[in-house]
Order: sequence, then C-alpha cells, then structure tokens
Amino acid sequence: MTFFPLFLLLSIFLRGACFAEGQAILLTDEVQLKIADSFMEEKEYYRAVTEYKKYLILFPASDKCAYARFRIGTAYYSGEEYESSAKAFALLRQSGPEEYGVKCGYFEALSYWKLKKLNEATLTFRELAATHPQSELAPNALAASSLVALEKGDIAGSRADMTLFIERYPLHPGWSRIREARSMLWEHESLPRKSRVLASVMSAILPGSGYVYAGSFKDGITAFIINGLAAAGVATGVHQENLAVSGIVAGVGLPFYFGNIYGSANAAGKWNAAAKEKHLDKIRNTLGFDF
Amino acid sequence: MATVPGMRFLWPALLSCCLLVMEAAFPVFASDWMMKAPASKRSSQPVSGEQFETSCVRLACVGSIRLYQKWISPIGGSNRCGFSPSCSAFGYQAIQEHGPAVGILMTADRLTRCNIWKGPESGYTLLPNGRLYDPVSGNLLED
Repeated sequence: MTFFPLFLLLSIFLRGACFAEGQAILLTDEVQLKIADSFMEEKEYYRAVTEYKKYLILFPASDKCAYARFRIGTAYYSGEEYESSAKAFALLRQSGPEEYGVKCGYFEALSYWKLKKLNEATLTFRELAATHPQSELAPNALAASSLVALEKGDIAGSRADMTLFIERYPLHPGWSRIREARSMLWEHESLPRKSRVLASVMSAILPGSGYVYAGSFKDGITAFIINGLAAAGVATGVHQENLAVSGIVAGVGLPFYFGNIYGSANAAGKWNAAAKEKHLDKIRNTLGFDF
Repeated sequence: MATVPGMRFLWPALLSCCLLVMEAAFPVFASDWMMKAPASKRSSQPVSGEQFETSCVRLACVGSIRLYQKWISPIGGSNRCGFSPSCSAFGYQAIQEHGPAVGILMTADRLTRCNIWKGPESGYTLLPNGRLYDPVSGNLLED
C-alpha cells in the first residue's frame, strides 16, 4: 500500500519519457532560426526577440549570428521599442560585419527619428549618405535627413540635403519630387504666423478677441460671455454698494480673465504649430518616400 | 452678551479648511512608498517622486479639486466632461506640475474651451472613447 503512490509516479514518469522519446526534435541552428522567423512573420515581435536571443546563446559561433542580431533590432523596431532597436542597431553597426552597416545605420537613424532625437537622427542619416553614397538606402537617408531637419526648423539644412540629393542622384525616380519639395521650402520659411503677444494684448483689451484672432472663434465667444458676465456682476455689486458680492464675483472672474489672456497666447501657438505641421505633411506627401 | 457678527461662521469655515487640507494631503499619506518594504526597513520619508505638499496655496487648490471630484462631481453622473483628461483632472495635474499661478490660468483656459461647441474640428484628437484628447503638456506656452 505504501509503495502504491511511488509506483504511480514512476509509471507516469516512464510514460512521459517514452512519449518524449517518440517526439524527439534535434534543435539545430536552422530550427531555432525558423522558430524565431515564424514569430516575426506572425508579428509576435517580443517572442521573436526571445527566440533570436536564444539562438545567439545556443549557437554563438554560427555564421548567422549577425542576421539574428539584425532581426532583434528589426523586431524591436516593429514592436515600436525604439530605444531598444536603436541600441541593437548601433551595436551591430559598430561590431558587426560590413554587409549590415548600411541597413543598421538607416534603421538606427529611423529609431532616433521615432524617439524624436532629431540631432542624432540627422547625424546618422548624413553619416550614412556620406560614407555609403552608392548604397540603395543613401537617397532615402538624404530625403529622411531633409525631413528631420525640417522638423527641427533647420530649413537651410533641409535645403542642403535636398540639393545634395538632386546633384547626386539625377536618375533616381524621386528626383523630380525632391525638386518640387525643395521649391516648397521657400513657402515653409514664409508661412503665415499668429503673434502670441498680439493675441494676449487683444484678449487683455477685449476678452475673447485673442482667441478669435488665433482662429478659435467659438472659444472666443465663450471667453467673451464668461468675462462679460463677471464684469457685469462686479459692476452691479459696486452699483448697489454690495462690495462683498463684487469681491466674490471678481475673485471668480479674475482667473478667467487672466486665463483668457494665457489661452489666447496658447491658441496662437497652437495655430502656428498646426500650420507648420500641415505644410510639413504637404512636403512629406510631395517627397513620397516611405520611411 | 454681544457677539461679533460672523463668528457663527468661524467654526464651519475652519472645519472646511481642515477638510480641504486633509483631502489634498490624503493621497500623499496613502501613497505606495509606505508599502514597499517591511516596517523595520522602510524609510520614514518617500524615497523619490511624490513629496509632502508644503505650499498652502497649492494645497488649497488641489484640495478643492479633490473635494469637487469626490463629493460634487458624482452628483451629476460620472464622466461628463468631453475632454480627456477631464477638466478637474487637468486642473489638478496643471497645479501639481506648474504651480498654482500657471495652473489656475491653464485651468481657467481649459474651462473656457470646454464649451458646447468643442469638437475634433477644433484641432483636438478624438479618442476611441469619444473624448477629445487635450493633455496639460499640449497647453504650455513653450514651443
């Protein structure tokens, strides 16, 4: 009776062992890589990263290690883990084989761009275009660099990148589009802007008018009504010699008055940012590059 | 015996002030830094991040907002604001992050913009839950 549980456990163990014997799979580097690649195909990026890392641990001497490292970077990039992808690509670019240098540089720069590290992105794109001008990614790098420069507000840098592209790649299918985009840079420099100071002053004089100037017509009406009601309340209180009521209404109304000045300046800033973004989109569409 | 006019409001006013202060201070006292280690190994102060609030104005402001969120806002039903974060959450965050002066201005501006005409066409991003995204970080005067 005492041996019964032991016997039961032993039989289960032996059964499991036999089953494993029948299903044995030899884990070669190709199998491991196939597992990782299949996860990538299924867009299971984080599991793919784990499998590629397992590959690097199990088969460190394999000639496909650089490929696995590149795929780790790609998986991070596709999974929108841009900090990790930038690190992975930078490391492979520095210590990996030459064949991955250009691709790693390109994706590293794209990762910086996604992270809004615009200076690093520009530097990496320009370095790639300068060191590997004949590679197929170099024109894309120059186009991307011009857009990053534009995002930074560096119009001269953007124009220089586009000019370099036009001089260097006259047979590129995107050549005419780059020329068109370059001509649009002049417009970008002279985009209409709303002055924050003017908006604030206008709202200080007539509440709500700054919002209207900055394009927020409905907010302007609301600000005018709120401040108008507060002013009427204070005036009525003073007129009826009820200073306590005037004080309370003024206490509530004053933050709205100053808030209206702040909001007008803010609305002008938002208007400028929206106009800039709209024009940037126009340039991006003209460039037609898929990043 | 003659009483000074308004004295009968003194105690309720004082009690209200205490309530405001407690409302504002409660999240700090209940923050999870207190639960991160056994009592013997726990430091007596928060290790990082949230510190005890010391500014009276800020305390009164955030306390008022907490009071509104806890006791007044639920009366009319929850989730009524069309913005995300809601106006009270926006005000709380703005005051906590930028101080009472700028925070109050930002809150007043937000309350002005939270009108019946607001919509995605005004430049706000429409979230899947039907609200308009308008974070504190998108309303700073810096470029």
